[in-house]
Amino acid sequence: MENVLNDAIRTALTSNAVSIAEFDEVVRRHQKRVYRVLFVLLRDPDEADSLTQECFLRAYQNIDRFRGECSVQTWLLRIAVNLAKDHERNRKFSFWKRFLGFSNEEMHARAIEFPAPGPNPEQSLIERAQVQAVWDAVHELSPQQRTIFTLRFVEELELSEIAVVLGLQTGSVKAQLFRSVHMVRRKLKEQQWR
Amino acid sequence: MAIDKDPHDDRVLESLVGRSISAEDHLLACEPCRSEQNLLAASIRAFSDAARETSDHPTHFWTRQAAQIHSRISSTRTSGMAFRYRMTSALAALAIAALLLLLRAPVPQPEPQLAIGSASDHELLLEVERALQRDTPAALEPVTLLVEDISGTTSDSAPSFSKEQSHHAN
Repeated sequence: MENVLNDAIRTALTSNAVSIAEFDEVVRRHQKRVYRVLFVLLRDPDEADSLTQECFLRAYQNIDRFRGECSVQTWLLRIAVNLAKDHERNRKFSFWKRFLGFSNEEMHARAIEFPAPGPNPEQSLIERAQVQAVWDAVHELSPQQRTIFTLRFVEELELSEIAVVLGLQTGSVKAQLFRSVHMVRRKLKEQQWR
Repeated sequence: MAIDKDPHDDRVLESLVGRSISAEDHLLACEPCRSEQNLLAASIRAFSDAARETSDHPTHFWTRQAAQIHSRISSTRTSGMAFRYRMTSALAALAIAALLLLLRAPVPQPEPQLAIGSASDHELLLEVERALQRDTPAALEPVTLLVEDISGTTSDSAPSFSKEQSHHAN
């Protein structure tokens, strides 16, 4: 049933004759995933919300470019990842603006509240610290490595799908994922030794 | 940095990155690597679960978000249609104005041809006669004067000038 619906949406998108009601269905089916990826990449719920909206708006405006060569999900994730990349670039630029005194905006690095994983308080604390360590380690990765790590482990995409989203070779994705896991592991070890 | 050079490390990472038969074989045989791999996999899984839970929201959040996307798309569509309507109207108005200008523009009249009469023939004959009486052709007169000036015969040029004057007097 799921596949039939996916095919119907894909056909509608490929024919470029999508009504707003049909597109609402696309939004409803993919908004959580797009939001989640943006949330992990940006660490900011408000920015993730705003860019999720922007992602679907762009998708609608560029429906004529969707040729059906990849899945709707892959296409939307590609838009989302590009938006996150642009956002990071702008954020860096605004950092320099703030640094040079051209802007009074406060840097908004948000502390994410992680849910307590277990009923045992001591165990919860350890696990929360562990999650925080991975989270911090992931954020020290390069934007592309972070994206690959997120798509692989949070979204559980295949390496070939990640390659399509990022427009890379599968081998390159694998190499970068290897490096990012290695770096996360090293950070975790450093954390344990503290 | 000692961690980087551990030969077992690659096997642990390979097993996490993708399916690797050699890595899996190694993990089956190597207890420290297996526990290392389990620990790392558990940390990543905990991170993944936390990311999923933290990014999850109640239904009203998704409903509001979908509604906002819908309204943004609708407004873009409406403004796009309004823009197309305005452009079409402007182009139509421009075409009408151009048509009116073309219709109102004065039709170029053919220039009236000069009547060639007997009087002009007579003047032409007189002109030919005058030209024949000159020492130098009319077109070369300025050059002649210039040559005379350069050769420094300013005083000698007087007779020529007077001669010319006498020609004109005739």
